[in-house]
Amino acid sequence: MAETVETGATGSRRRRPFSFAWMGLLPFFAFVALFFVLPIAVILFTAFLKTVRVRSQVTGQFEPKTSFTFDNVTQSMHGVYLTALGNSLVLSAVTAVIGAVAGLLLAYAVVSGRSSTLRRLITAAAAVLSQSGGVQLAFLFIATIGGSGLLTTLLQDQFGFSLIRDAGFSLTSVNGIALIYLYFLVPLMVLVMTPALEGLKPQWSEAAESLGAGRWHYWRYVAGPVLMPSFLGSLLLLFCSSFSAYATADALTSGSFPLVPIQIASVLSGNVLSGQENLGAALALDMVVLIIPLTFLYQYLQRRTSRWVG
Amino acid sequence: LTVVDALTPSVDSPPPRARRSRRRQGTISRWVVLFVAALYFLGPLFAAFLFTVRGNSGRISFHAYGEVFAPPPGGQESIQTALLLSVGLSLITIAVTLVLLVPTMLLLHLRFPRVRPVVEMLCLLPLVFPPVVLVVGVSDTLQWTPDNLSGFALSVVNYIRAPGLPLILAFVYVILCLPYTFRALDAGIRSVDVKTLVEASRNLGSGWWTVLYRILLPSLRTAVVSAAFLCFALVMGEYTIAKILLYKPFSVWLVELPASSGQLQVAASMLSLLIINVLLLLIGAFNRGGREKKGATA
Repeated sequence: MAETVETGATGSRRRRPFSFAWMGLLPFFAFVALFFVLPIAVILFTAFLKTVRVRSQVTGQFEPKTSFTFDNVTQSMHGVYLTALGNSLVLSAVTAVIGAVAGLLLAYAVVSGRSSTLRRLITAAAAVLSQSGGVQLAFLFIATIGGSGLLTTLLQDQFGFSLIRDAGFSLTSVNGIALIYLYFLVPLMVLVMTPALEGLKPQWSEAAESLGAGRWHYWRYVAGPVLMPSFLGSLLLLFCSSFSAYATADALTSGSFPLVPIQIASVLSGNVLSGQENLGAALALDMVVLIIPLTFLYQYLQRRTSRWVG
Repeated sequence: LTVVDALTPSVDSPPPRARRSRRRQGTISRWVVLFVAALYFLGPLFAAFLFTVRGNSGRISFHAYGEVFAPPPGGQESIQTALLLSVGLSLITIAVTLVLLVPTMLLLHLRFPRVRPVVEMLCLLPLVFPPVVLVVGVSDTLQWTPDNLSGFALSVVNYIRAPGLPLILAFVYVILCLPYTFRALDAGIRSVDVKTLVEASRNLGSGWWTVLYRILLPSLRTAVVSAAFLCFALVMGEYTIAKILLYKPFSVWLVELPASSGQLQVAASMLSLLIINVLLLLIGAFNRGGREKKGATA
């Protein structure tokens, strides 16, 4: 069978007529070029363009003049935009670390149990919840611990405990946003770490134990190093996921909390001075410049992971 | 080697009692972790549900769920308009995705295996660029068109950004869905021996059309259906692109409801989360079912 196929292939290679089959690939490439590559290229371009109205020497009228400049990029790293960038970075780093540790604990609790039903249930739930970072999530939390949420009023009425006065917790602050982000980051971590944890062979822990290693030694010298690339890779994934999230924070704070995606939306809706219309592209460029190196790092860590944990 | 494995635990292992207590300690901390997780993940769902059925004077009432489908206060568009737009957009997204991706991937598999890595990379790239970045580019491109295009090209652009049925949204959603749909279809194509099927049916005299519709699509049914469901779930929940391009599908409608309608917003969120989550769970069950069946026959 295989032989006939091969001879057929070589035979046709010798005198293959001109084929139009490659044209079948054109629609896909054209579509991706038009709706993905072009917009991204436009960002790279417009981030460095600035249109100002200048009085023409000849006619004496104001005319728009477009020139290449670094103004937008400089502007995107000053003032309120710098605050937003800082907020976004801190929020993403904190939620990524907490989410990664919590997700690892949860994944370990699931994997180390012998119940395969529980494992299947949690994996299915994690797959669903990791996609739940939308506006609905914001309303879910508003109903629970928002200003007139169920838990808020319950604590207030039954124990006289005010979340905002006694605990200093507000859902629309950075703490609140972080709490909500963990709702989809922890499941994401469980989802990506479960295969890695399942790849830890019981023989390794038995071998370590028979050589006299305690639990700490096993985790420090065997399981830890094997899991580390996969853990760091997942941490990066969580960071990027948190960094680019927009819907939940926007719905929660009506677009008032300074995060980079929210600032981009605000610029695009015309909320800038004249001449700063391209600031949105510059902010988008900032995000891309931050995320792309992380992606390469992630790729590298993925390759390291597959060496031990298939 | 199995003998060694079987013997190792008994060699120089700690006394049984110490081990047992350590294991019990592990079990307790396991259940603590699972309990906290259950509280965090199920708590808000439960609390939000109680929040929506809380009526006047402590009675339970489901009127918020009825109100979801009534005309909203404040002269807003009704949920029907918004839902219709969302469903329409997801159907178009599914159709474009399948028409674009299925023939391309079959062609890659059968004729151009060397181009496959390029296509794979293009399909996974949208994961790297956040939706909010992509929408900046789309918005800038759309703003550029009226001054720089004319005639037929401009009318095409105006047609795809028409507020009634913004095709541009569906096209951007196709891009956003690519990483997921590519993986779903790729897994499907790899799991059947496409080459043999095609050669067999060609040998028996069927044309390419017959091969595609009567041989390939039926055997890729699971992959096609799960790709379609994924598109549907993603489009129904999508907010960023639509909000920034100023269109009003379901999720944007939900956020723009007047703040006084708190219960209504939560009720609508619960309903849509329920639908989306059930869909995603179905995809999972579907894929697993297919895999297990295959495992059983293999």
